[in-house]
Amino acid sequence: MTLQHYLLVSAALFALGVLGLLTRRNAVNVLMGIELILNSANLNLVAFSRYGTGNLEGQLFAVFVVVIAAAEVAVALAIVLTLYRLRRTPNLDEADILKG
Amino acid sequence: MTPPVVDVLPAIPALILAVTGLAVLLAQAFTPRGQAAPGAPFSLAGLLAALVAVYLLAARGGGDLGGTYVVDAFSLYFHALIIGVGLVVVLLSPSYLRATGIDRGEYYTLVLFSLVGMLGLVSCRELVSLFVSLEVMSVALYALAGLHRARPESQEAALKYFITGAFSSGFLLYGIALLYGASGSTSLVAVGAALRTPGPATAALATMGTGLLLVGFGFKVASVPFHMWAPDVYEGAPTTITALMSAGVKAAAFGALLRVFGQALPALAASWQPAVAALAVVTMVVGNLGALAQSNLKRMLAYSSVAHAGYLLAAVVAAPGIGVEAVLFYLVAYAAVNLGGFGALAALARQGREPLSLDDVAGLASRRPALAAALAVYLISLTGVPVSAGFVGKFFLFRAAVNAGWTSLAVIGVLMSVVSAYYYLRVVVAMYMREPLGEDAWAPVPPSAGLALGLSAAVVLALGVHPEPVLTWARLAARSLL
Amino acid sequence: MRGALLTVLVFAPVAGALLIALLPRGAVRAQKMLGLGVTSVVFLLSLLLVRDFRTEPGMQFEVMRPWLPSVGISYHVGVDGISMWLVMLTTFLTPIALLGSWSSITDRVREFNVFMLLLEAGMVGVFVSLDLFLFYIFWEAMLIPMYFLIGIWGHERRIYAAVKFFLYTMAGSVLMLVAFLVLYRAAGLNTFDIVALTRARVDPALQMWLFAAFALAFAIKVPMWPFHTWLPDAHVEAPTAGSVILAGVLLKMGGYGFLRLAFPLFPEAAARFAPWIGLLAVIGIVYGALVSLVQPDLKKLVAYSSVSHLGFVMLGIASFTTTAVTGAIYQMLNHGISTGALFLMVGMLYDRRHTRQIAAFGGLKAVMPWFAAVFLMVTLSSIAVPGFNGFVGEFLILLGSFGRTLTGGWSTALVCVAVSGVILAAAYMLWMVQRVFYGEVTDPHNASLPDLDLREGVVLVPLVVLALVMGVLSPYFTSRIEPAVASLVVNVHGRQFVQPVAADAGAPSERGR
Repeated sequence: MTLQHYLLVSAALFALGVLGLLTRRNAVNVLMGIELILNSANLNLVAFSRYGTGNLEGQLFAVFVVVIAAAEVAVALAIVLTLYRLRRTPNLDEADILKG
Repeated sequence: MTPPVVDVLPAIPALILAVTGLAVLLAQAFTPRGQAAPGAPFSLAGLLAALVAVYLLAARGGGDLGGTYVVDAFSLYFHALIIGVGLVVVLLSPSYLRATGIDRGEYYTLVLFSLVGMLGLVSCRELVSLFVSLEVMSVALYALAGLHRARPESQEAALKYFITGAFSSGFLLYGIALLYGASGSTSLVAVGAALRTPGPATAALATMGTGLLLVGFGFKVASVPFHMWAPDVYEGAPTTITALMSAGVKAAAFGALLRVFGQALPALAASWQPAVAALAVVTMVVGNLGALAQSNLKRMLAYSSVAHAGYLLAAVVAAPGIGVEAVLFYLVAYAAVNLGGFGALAALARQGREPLSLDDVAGLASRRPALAAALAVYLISLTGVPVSAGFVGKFFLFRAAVNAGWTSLAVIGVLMSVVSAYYYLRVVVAMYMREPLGEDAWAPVPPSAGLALGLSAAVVLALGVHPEPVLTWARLAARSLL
Repeated sequence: MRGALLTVLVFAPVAGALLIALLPRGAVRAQKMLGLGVTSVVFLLSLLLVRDFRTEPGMQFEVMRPWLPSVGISYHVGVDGISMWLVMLTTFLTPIALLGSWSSITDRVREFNVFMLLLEAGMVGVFVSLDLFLFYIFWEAMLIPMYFLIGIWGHERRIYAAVKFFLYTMAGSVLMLVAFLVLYRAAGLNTFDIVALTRARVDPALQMWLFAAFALAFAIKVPMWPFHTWLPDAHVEAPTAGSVILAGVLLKMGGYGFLRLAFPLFPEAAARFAPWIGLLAVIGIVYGALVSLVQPDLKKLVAYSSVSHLGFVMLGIASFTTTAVTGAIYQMLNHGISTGALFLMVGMLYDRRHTRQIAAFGGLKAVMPWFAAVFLMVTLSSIAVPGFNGFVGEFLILLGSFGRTLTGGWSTALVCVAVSGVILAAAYMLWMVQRVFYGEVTDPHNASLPDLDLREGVVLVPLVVLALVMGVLSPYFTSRIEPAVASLVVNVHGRQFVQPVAADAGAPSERGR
């Protein structure tokens, strides 16, 4: 295992996350896409820290990101839930009042 | 072994706001159900205290919190601007919250928390804390955008804001990770130093990282092609929050962008400048043409905010020279105008409705002469016609672009300003040159909102006549970035 | 006092506007009195300019204070023989326009007076500014009150006309702003001072671009054919006071801009473009005259006659000889007076009959003898009959545009075509006068129209007197214009276009002096 392997996996995760975010209709799937993106960056940070730079800043950063991701998802689920109560659907493409 | 002495003074303004936010939350918890805690007076007191703290910090010559959170002339400038934006938003809020039935304590808490994030965003000299600040700001704003739980528009806006916000945060984070990999550090100065002598692998990583950062910031400042969330979110969010987003978030995001690109990435200027220039062009063109097609005033102002991101980007191309100075000045002018514009709509809100179409504001000049005059001043400033802060601001933006050799950007900018005159003037036409339609459906302007609107108009006119003090300050701030 | 005079002239109207804005909405009479009072005082003060003016080239009454020193922007004002008269024209016409619309403006009187005063401040500001930034501020800021004047108090299609006016003029001037910035960078003097920049020499290739940007802004303002299409709309839809100011002063800013900025800053480019400007000017002369000839609408006729008259002005400027430029400035003043008077009188007719169609009138001479007499005098001034001011201006322009001029080999042809404009002007104006005033009273509505009342007389008499004075005592004026023009012409293109002093044209008795 070298740095390159980690970077490739991370890039794949990132791409999957973006793909999921762009193609999924269900809000929960979209949230999972966002998690994938954040975690792909985390993988990068840790890998760079382990193989590249030799300092711990990257691993520290990753911990911060995990916490922030949790906070984000908490707010996001609350929003999805209220929208679900109002509209009775978790599907994003049915949230289409705003346009013009 | 003694722990290193950390100077916490630089963080005092942000701490004051954070503590005030918690105090408001507690006060709400101890208020009987169905009643509102005195959130606005608390917040005003906190903001004023924070402003005093900023003044004292400035007198002390700034400070540095362990190399991550630095209060230099640049942060002080943005501190004053962001706290000023906060003051105006809080002044606008009570009447609007009552009129729309969302008068709850957590509103002010969330506003204060988002302001804390903005303060951090412009002060962080280190990528981890920068990212944390960004998220503090954003998470509070996601919740604020969806504060109106009974209105599907508000929820939809919150969801769209969250998805695009989290998406852009992801890009930003990935970019940061690549920069960390390229330089081995998350400190902006260290990144900048490492990139000055890159190896081939680092150069590739750094360029990719820069591109991802640009995408991330592009989302945050609502630059085309990362702008599509702005109209929906601006329309659906509570109007006072829209004002906060358009004035505060934009300022903070540009502050962070200038700091990161000016301190960490000057070595890569040759590769990001053309990209920023291209973004500026499409943003100016698409933003203005998009605004032309809008009939909803909030959406129109949203597209106009996209367009203004384009004008600002035109000067960012000229960073780190006079471009930074011009951007800083314009952000003040722009904040005053947008607070005024959205604030005027919010001030008229009554029973959950606010003026949103041209018909709604027809003949406003005869029914609310002072408010109409103020709104006309803001619109003239947005168009960039003297005597107004907007004109002086655009003059310096385009001067920066011309001086950096990007005359074409200035030409596109001024031509698009003419296009913008058409849609801004439509509102003036409706207010002044048409007769009112039907009964007067709008609220009388509440005193605190009147004060906020008057302040904004005064700032717009004063900066149009006598911009020198703010310009000098902006110049000092720009220098501290070098 | 000498130093502060121009500043007072610019900012006294602003102070007056603020005062009026503070008056209660109902105090209509006080608002009108204050508006008229302030503008009259400003006019009286501006007479000090003429009194203390020294007959010499160069700037006078100069004030220079740093404003944005780091960028080289200063509050620099001053007048020479060119701008002083345009300032006078502004301060003279504004109270007349206000008095002229004393009873026709009844809605939102306070705002009307505020906008008129702000407009005056902007116009005076444009003529006295000697700093590009300051100039541009006044130049653009003036659009706003004019836009409101047209849009609020105008006629049926007022909103369309107001927006068109605003967009057209703004579109023209924004490129000039970029040209300012490029010039600032190219000159490398770190200043926006007009006097200092005039001495800088800019690369001729760059000059072409900059001149084009400037020329576009000014050509739209003049307006030169084919940039004139905003003018008929704006003039026809504007309220009388708006039309008077628009035709009387605003259009002069275009010509003034060519003289003060475009030609001196970019001499090589000016030489290249001059024949084409002359060509467009002559096309404008003929086109404006021909369209006037077929206009059924009085106000439109006067509006198109402006296109024609300003063609003469532009021909004089393009020729760029001392005589022609002096004539052009003189003609700008004449046009302000005679067209201002024409718009006022068309407005008076409209107030009485609520129509502007020529066909609706006829035989008014019998009904309104005084009105008809004044109208005829103004017409004679407009069509340049000797003894009136118009003659001096057009004569000097045609004389100066002949022979060795900046339009080069085209000069003779241009003058020949321009002369036809003089004839056409006589045709359309006199034909209009004949249809409106002579013949039988065919429409019973016209049988009992009241003649000029005292207020209208007070409005018109100064204009007619001035038209005659400027026709007979032209040397008084030209001798004060000429030195500034001569120094301008020499500074830009050396002595080749200096012609013998023409101050005595139109006043043969002075020739022996």
